[in-house]
Amino acid sequence: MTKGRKRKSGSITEQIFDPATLEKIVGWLEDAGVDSIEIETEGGRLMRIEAGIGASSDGAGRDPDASVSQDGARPAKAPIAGHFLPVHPAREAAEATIGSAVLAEEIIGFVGLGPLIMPIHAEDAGTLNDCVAEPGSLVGYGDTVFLIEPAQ
Amino acid sequence: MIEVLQTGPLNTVQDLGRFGFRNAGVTSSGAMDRLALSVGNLLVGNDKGEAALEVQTFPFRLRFDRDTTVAITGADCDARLDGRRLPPWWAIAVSADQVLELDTPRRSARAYLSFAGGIDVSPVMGSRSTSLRGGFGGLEGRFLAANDRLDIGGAGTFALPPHGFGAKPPEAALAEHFPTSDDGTLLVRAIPAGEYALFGAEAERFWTQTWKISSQSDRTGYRLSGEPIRLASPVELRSHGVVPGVVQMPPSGEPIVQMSDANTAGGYPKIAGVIDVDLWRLGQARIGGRIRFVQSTVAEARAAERAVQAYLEDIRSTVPMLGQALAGMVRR
Repeated sequence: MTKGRKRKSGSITEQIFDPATLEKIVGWLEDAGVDSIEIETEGGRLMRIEAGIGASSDGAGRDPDASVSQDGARPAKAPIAGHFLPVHPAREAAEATIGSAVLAEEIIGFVGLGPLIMPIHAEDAGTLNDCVAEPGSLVGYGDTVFLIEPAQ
Repeated sequence: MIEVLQTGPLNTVQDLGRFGFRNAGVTSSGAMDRLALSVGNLLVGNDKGEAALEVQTFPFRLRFDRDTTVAITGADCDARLDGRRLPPWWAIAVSADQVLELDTPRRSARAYLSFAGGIDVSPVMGSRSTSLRGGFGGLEGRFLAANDRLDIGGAGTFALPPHGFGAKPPEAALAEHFPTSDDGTLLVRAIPAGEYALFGAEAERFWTQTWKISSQSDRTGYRLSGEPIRLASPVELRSHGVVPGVVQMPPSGEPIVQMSDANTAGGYPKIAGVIDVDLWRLGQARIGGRIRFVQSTVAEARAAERAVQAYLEDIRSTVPMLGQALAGMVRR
């Protein structure tokens, strides 16, 4: 019996690491214009497969919050994968602009997901320093979208 | 239970309307923007036709007496929950004693507040809509007043992200299906009606001129002002059935568009009928606003209706998936 080619033979991780499967997934990603995909397995293992690179597991190859170290600015992250919307589609102005003060828990941007809209919120009060995602671009779950300089 | 702390006049309980009793002279009532009401209900996990609050005079404030989920759709009223700003077209879990405030919108006319489980007033003839003219339905057949308390049905909240979530507003999600003008005039699609031919060449100006929504406009109908359009020769008509969307031409020559609380019968000649799928846009138009009628077809109206149905179905099917996705992330 060939391991990893049938359901229930080997863990999901093993199945995904099967080179044939990997190749297929990478092909799908490239076809869909997606750079990478993260897969959480039953055991809580996190895998990231990047088109053109292959797979890495348990965060290897990830850039763990490079933003955090940038002058102590804190990230405001995408709550779900989707399209970044700096301005709510029913409004003309953004909820917060670069340089403005934001409150803890304040909604400062949005992610559009099909017909729905999810909020990006500031964890802590501070000053909105930067927006690091392009309007309309695809953002992944947990991607940093805004940088906030915490209030003293 | 919710408690109204502050309200202007004419804010009512509405659902999608009361149908099947027009032959007995019962108006359909129902939300002026049925699309906003439907989206609000879907965002809180209800069927799209549950009873909600239609708020058209501001400021409006209410307090929750128990944990529940609320959605605010329609006009952007800069809603605030305990002072915290909420985006428009938004659903959020709320706790007992929290206060929700709505301010006068800068655009559009009416906001809808939908609650998980719906407003629990007794249905009358199959609907919870308030008939202000009939004095029945909704809350004792009247508009809301401060200190009113309303029951909400169902078992309370359903899984929501802590900062809430929203729906893409129909103006954005359905942009390609609704015409817009360069100068901000609302374009309303209509089809020539029974007595159209009696207006002869005059009828052309019905389409070409820009009409202003006069101050004599309400949930019953919108009186438009503009250059009068007159019949080629006067006619006497027997009263006939009238439905929301019918555009009547009284002797003054300025049209009346029948809206949600439309009379069930009337004798004015009908020059046109607004297509049903455009009525929500008219329901959001404000007094003093400008509109222009665009001649449409049954095929175009049906295509727009299909797009609206697909939009609603997309929301209905995606909301539970969002809950599942978020639950998966919390486990992480």
